[in-house]
Amino acid sequence: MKTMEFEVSGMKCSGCSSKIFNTISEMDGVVEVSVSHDDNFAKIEFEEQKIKSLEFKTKIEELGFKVLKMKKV
Amino acid sequence: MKKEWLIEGMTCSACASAIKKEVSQIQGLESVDVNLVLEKLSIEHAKNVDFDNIIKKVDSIGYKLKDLGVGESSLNQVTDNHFKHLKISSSIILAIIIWGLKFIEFNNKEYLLLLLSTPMWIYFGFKYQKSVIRFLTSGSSSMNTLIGLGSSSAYFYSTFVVLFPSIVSRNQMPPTTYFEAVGFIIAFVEFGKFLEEKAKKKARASLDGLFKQSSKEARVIEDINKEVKETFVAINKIQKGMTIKVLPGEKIPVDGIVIDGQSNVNESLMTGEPVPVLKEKNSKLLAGSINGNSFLIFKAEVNGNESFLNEMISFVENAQSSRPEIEKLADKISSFFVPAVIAIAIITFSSWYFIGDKSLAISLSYLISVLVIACPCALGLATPTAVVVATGRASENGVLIRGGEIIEKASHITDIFFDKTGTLTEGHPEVLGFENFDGQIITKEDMDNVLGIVSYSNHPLSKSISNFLIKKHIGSDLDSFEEIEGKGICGEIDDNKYTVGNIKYLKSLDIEITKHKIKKFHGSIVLVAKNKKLLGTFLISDQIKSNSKKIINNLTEKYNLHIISGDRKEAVEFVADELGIKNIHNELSPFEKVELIKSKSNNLMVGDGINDAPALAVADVSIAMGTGSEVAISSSDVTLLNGQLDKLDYFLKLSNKTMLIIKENLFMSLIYNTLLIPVAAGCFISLNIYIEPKYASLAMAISSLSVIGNSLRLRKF
Repeated sequence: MKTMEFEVSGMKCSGCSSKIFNTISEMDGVVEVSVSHDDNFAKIEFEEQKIKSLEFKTKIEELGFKVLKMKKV
Repeated sequence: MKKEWLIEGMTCSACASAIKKEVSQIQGLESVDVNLVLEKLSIEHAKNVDFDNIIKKVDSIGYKLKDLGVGESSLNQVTDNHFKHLKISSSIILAIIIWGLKFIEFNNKEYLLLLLSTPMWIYFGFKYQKSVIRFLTSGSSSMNTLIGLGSSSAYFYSTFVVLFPSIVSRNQMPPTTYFEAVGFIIAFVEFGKFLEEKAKKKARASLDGLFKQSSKEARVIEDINKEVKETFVAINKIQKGMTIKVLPGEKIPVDGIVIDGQSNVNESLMTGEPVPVLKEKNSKLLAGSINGNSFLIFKAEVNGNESFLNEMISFVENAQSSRPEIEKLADKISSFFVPAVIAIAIITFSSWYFIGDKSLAISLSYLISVLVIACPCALGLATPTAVVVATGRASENGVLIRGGEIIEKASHITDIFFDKTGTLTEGHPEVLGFENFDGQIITKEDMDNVLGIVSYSNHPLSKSISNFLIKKHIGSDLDSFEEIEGKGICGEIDDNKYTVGNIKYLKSLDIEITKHKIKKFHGSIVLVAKNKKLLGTFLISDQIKSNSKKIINNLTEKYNLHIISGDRKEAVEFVADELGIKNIHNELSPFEKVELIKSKSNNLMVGDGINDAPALAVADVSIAMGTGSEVAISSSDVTLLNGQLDKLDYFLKLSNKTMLIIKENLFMSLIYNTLLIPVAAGCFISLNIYIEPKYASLAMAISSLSVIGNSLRLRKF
């Protein structure tokens, strides 16, 4: 089990953060997600055997946002 | 105000000039433009103009104007094509029937033949008879004039023989009819034109299939009561000042200035620079460039259809329509042949009438038979058959040629201009290699870690490093990652921190660089450091295509070679030196490229990007890489489907060979007929040999078959 925090830019309102929250939650291997558009981050707990952190970055960018920073917590 | 129509019935530039002249006479028009290639009439007018009047005027000279309706026109085109096919097949069948009937004996045979030949002459042969009239009124002649003269002579004389047999026998005129000649002359030429059209359509159809749908809409953002609303708006409805958002990978829809976001944008199709440029707040964006790894929000600087890209596209369209059509070799020969034949016919007539003291009727009959025999119907097949076989062979080899006149032009080329990025080079940055610094040991694990880090970044330089490393390494999972746009990336794996980026970035992190010697390089240098110690550098550049050198060597002897590019001097000079091209032109804007091309006559240009399109449109012969932008492909005469230059050499050799075959064909189509002119003129009448229809048909058959057979020799090329 791994937890990573992604710094997400481009979130303007709660609509954006909900979009990210819903999409990430549905991904296989994700245990817990929390997204804050005020603080510009998404914290994701996931099973590293099932999914890699790169996939989260790709998905968030597909939705129209930008990930420039991430770290393990 | 502007208005456009589709024009039906144009066949050549003479038609285009006639229409332009006719419409220009109308009051109240600011500009009139006729585009032969796109078959469009465009006008600009200040106040209300009577469109019906324009349509009527164009109709009066024999052409039809149609409204530019999207769905309609494609349906009309299909039925028009079927109709054309039907017309050609009917003319050929009619010609064969007329010829076949000659062998059957039955009452009133000649009247039936007259009946069948009349539609042949007046309906299928209408445009050729028009050419004869044009010759009589203006003196200009072409191949069509020759066809018209021959078929009309044959028809009128034969009709006279059938309708006035008493006059014929009384005056001892040759009582022969040439109805089958009327048929063959017209049917052959129609067939030749049909072949030509088919070859053109085939090339166009293959090219249409290459075009991907480009975005016609833009994502407009509006702030309504703190809620961000996104709507899709058609490009031509975008207005200056609108806020637009583009996602990664999308095309920038309109010129603008960035308000928010940071991204690397690929402008290579516009500027020729193969490495994407960092765009951030207040950076300018160009419509047509491709967004990289991040979203961008920007303000439109111009209206949707006023971007620089649109300027280039309209320039291309205009250049194509005002391009002078080269006078085809067949027409050149005809314009000399027609007066010669008429002169011989008149001499024949005069000799018999004045010197030989024969009756008017007999002298006329010799004149007619000279005109009939001198008409080389195979002339109409000489060029089209060779062109069809050549373009067919070319497309089998992945070279799409848009028309026969291109082959003729290609045989006169002296200067060749090569675009750099994407034409001589691959068009995207690739890693040349990695250089260790001073005895630094780099483990496989180190490279696995570097791969993991660059995989996390969407920057094109990261992608090229990733492509390079992935052959021998597996990317590690990262504990942390950070990317600074325009500078570099860093990541941590198991307490080891790696930094990958440019010199400025590493220096700002206090990584010791100065004691290492970093050599000058024409491409990009990416440094790699581990725990603040420099490991080495990746050398990245846009690679020259592997077969470029060989091809340049092949072409250097025969042609003057030039390299033209919008990229910076060092990059262009490097490629030019590597390949041995002496004429170097760098840092050129798309329109500067146009001026350069225009400065040399008999030029050929090879390109692939949007920034090449205007230059391609003005070049005498233009060749596009099939792997390049749609705009370049649609502005070009020839497309090299696989984007490889080896086909260029093939195309040039094929064109020269085809021209040779065409000249042989023209000779063969004239020689048989010319040899029979003395017989037609009555030189051997003392031996009772004069032109019977069977000689005329025989001459036509032999010359046509020789021409077709000769053209088929191109199949082996």
